Amino acid sequence: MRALLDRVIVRQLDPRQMRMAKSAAWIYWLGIIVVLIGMLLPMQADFNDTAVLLLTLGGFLTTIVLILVPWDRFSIKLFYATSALACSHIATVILFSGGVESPYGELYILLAIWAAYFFNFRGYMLVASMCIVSFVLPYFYDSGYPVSSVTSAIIKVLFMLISGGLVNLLVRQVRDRNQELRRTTDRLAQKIREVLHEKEKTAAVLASVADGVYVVDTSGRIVLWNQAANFITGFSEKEMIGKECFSATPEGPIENGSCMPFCGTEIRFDENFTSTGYEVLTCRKDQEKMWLSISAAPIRDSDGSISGAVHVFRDISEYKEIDRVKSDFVATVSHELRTPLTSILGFSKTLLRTDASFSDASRKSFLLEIVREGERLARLIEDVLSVSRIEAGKLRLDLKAVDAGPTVSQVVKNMARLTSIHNFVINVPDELPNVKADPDKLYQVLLNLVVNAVKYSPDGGPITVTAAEQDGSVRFEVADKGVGISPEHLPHVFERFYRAARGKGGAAGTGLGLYVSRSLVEQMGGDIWVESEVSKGSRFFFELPVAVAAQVSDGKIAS
Amino acid sequence: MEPIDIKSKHVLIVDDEASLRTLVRANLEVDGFNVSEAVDGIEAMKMIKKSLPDLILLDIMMPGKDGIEVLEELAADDRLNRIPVILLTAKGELEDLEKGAALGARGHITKPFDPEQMVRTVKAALGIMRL
Repeated sequence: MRALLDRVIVRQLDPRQMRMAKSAAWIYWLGIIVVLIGMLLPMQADFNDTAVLLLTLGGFLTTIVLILVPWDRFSIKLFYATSALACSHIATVILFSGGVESPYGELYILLAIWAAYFFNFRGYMLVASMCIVSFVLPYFYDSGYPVSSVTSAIIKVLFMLISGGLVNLLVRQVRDRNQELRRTTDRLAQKIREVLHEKEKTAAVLASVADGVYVVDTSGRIVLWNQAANFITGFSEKEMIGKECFSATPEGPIENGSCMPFCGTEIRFDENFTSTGYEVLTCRKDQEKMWLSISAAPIRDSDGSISGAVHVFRDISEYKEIDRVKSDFVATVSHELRTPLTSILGFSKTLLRTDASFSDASRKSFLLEIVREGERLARLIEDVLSVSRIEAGKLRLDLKAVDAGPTVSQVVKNMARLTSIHNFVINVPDELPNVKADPDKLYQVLLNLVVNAVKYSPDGGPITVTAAEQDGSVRFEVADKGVGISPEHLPHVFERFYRAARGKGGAAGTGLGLYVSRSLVEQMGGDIWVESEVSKGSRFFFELPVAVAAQVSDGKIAS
Repeated sequence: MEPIDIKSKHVLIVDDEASLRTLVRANLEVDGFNVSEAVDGIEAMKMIKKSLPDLILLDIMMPGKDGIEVLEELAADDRLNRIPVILLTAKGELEDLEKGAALGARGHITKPFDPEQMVRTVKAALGIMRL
């Protein structure tokens, strides 16, 4: 930027102008040399004529150069201007006085011009005064100078004053211009500094925002692409600048054709263009799908015309996923609620049918169905409530020393009533130490696991519930010989809303049971995990700490 | 109502919920129907091809092969597309109902349903009784 400024201020003459200026200067200096020779040698008319001719010619040519050369080459112009003035001055003096009487006078004039150039008006006045003194003094003191007449001396002084004044004016003008130019340059430099600073600031802001920012010009090409945009999309500034934003993805058409360009829909850069916002499904550089939320706003010039559009975008894939999971969850829960409800209402109304009669055994089995489905509904509601409490961090635990044996028996007893094809095996030693747990939550966890075991072994079979002490903890195990869990689902079964494909026999779920179980076990200071093999069954384990004896004595555990 | 007629009628209930199958079976059997069950679309197709039931009660939302897929298969088969199908749906599955109707389903029962009404619908579809 600085270098550019320097070039603007001191521009070079082009070679042709330079040659002209040089030639004129040489002719002029030749005239000076001739004058000097005439000074040293005895005065001869031939010499004088030659000197006058050369000086006049030199002055004439330099004047032409002055006219031709533009103003802003002021330093060179000034040099030739002074030369030309000196030249014409000498010529005039010689013509009016009829000969070169005192070469010193002419030297004074030259000196005056140069002083005016270097020292401005004061310098000129000083030298001019010296000139006047040098011309006037000989009239009062009889010196050896050949003085022609008073008129000649007056004319000399007048010309000297006029020419010097002109030079002074010229110099002033040039100096003013120079100063103005300097001021302008300084202002320009300041502005550039400000702009650069502003640009750096803007760049810093653009780099630091978490949202992607890009700017397109009215032809739809990207002219700005910030770091966040790079981070979000995987495309770098280098790849994106200059790319057509609307008609294609940055890397051309993507194979599966489902990746929309980042810009979404095309913007019409007309008067109706105002800020807009939209969402677009597009792809990262690695072809991974992503949802972008983009807002676009016009960039207006000072005259109000639109010069482009700035876009700010963020990756909303995660929100979209949460949204999807949520609506999925609502659909699942409502389906899961409706299913037991259908059975409860259906069997109740079946019992109330007036046009048919059922045997006692049938009626009992219907009632059993109603109980089973009612309990399923209760469990589901309990799970949903637990999730909302866990999510809100409001899960309250009433930790006590709990004898797990009766809890296990209770769970198994309740489940055994509801299935005839499974046989339950309880494997809990009498001397099992108490665990530190919330009894209701322990029941909920065991019930969830046993229900799952029943649900995922639709062909029946044994379901074993084991509890045993192990290194200061009690390890519980619920094992079935059912459908098992495939390795791809296994790592996710404890995740919220995660559901493996429904098993044979319609074992659907809300994706809540195991998530709730894990949360409860972990909050009680325990750990939960699963081992499973497809078609061979699953083994769910969880461990809870043994309640310390001292704490058992008063029946409660201080937390 | 002609009991002799009903006894010879074979109804297939396709639903992934065991308790719902039991509910339908209990209510139809008490009226004399011959009822068999399938837990999903795949099992249903096997049973339909094997035994050609007189009527199918078909749940839409099922794992594996869902009700709509079963309907599509039935509609494409000249031998099977004459079997009347009644869809079992939850409220709000309007889109599926429209699809089902287009594929030739005779009617639908919305869960939760009144068993007596369900039996009447089945009988009407079989031409045994008018609604």
